[in-house]
Amino acid sequence: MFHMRGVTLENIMDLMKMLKESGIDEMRLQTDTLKIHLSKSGPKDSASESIEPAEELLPVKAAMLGFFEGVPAGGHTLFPLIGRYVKEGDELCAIRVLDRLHVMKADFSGWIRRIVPSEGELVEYRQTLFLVEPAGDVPGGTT
Amino acid sequence: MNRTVSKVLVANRGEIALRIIRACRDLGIATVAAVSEADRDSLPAREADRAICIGPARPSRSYLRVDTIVTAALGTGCDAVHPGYGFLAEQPELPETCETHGLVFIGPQADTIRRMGDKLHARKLVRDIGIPVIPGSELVRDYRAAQRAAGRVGYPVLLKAAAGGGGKGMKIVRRREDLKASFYEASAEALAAFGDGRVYIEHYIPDARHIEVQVLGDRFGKVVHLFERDCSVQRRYQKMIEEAPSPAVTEELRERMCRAAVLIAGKMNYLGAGTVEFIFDQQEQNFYFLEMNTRIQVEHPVTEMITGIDLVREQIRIAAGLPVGFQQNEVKRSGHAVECRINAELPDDDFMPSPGIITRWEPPEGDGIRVDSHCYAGYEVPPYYDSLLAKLIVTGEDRDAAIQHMHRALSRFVVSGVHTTIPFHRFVMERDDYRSGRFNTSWIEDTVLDHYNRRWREATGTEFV
Repeated sequence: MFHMRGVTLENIMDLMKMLKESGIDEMRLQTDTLKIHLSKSGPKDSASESIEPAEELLPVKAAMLGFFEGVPAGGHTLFPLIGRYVKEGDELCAIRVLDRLHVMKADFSGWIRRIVPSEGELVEYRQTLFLVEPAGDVPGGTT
Repeated sequence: MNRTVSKVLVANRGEIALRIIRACRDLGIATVAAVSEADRDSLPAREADRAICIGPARPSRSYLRVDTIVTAALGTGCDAVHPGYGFLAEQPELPETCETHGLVFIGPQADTIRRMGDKLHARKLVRDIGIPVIPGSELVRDYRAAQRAAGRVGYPVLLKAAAGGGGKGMKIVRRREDLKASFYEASAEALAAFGDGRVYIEHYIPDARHIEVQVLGDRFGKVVHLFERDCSVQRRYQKMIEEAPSPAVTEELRERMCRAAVLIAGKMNYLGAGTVEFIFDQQEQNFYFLEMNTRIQVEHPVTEMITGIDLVREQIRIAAGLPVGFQQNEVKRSGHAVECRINAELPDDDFMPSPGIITRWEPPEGDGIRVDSHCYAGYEVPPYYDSLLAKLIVTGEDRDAAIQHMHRALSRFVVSGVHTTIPFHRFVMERDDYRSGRFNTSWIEDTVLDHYNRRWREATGTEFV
């Protein structure tokens, strides 16, 4: 039997079943040595659950000063929301400088864990916009 | 038509940013310092009510970006922008963009900046109102045209950039055979500096002084002058020491120059603080219009010290739609003021920039001493910007007293960690030709540098390689 400090594989399977039947998209469970992250969304080519050592969130910083636009004009949410998995090169948000929108793209793949500025807020150069849990190796670090 | 100025975005750095922040504070106006990444911990960033990082250290991606500056002003709730000097101060796009977005620009209108920025246009405008300009040409399209123009004007001549200022794209040509090479050099330099390689020719005046008149104009058509400054102590067309009043002009000449400056500013419905620069021919005792600077100048404190008028405060009041706060006949001058620009440079090595960390910073204090500076012990002088550390301004009852006072103040000014121009300024203050007021714009390069370097070699027993 797979056993690790009181957490069994059966326990995890149960958790997955609970998540599937619930209205929530993801859940996390963390002990001293184990971190379980279950999500209904995520990369298609991998399992929807991950068992990995505790990792730090990496910041995605503003490449310029401007107004933060997570939801571009028109109101449709094109950009990722919390929990969404983004691949390197995916569009993250836009920064508006006067009338021009500059789209910011992800430098690495991972899960968006936090969106720091509020919609329309002025962000400074190099201000943290997102906290991202990286998936695998992070090529070239953050923006 | 008053316009509210309650919160100002300071779109500059260094001592002038601090100067503007303090002037605003005195007027009860809030400030936002727009800073590059290199200036995040600077004194202006700390003294302003808020600091906002506009971009990386490189000016082309921070202090020179009109769109970013205006966005920063809008996003921080500012209703006005002060450009200081340098950077965007004379770029008409800044006032234009401010106006589009409902912000007050603390400076003249875009149109005035554009007209005065084109040196040939400015020459024509001034000549048309009967004020002498240095004999010269229109644009010269190639070196042959330049040769013909130089022949008419008479050698030596000065090749100058039409878009220019600050000595860039400027070449003295003494002989016809040198003109071709100089023409291409000047044109290339002008293109690199201003994105505009057009040049023209002016007669070169060898024994010249640089004398400029401070003016203020308001929305009600009033223009006043605040007398002149003498900025003849220059190296490579960069001012080093300025003073007011000029020791070279008589009362009659002063009056004529000031009247000419007011006429020029009046003709343009000038708004805010500006400076009309003249070249004074010491041989002929004639003055000629050189150019007009449509901003606050580095050397404005010498005028403030002899008139008691706060020029930055006046700039802000005028931008807010208020009239100039006094009449011409109320502008009085008293005493004499001298300013030395203290740069982080090594005078012994061709004024090589000397960035680094300032480990000791002890400016002089006392009556008649003013130090405009953003420096402190522990401050790191960044390599990305001009090397001005401080302006030491000293007043005295008369010129002799001011010079003596300046010499003492320089001797008490302690700076460690970076090299400064303090020893060079002391050397100048000790010279009889400076004390007697007998010098011209090429005096530093023709005479002083040689003597200074010789003394340095003697003192150190070193031969320069």
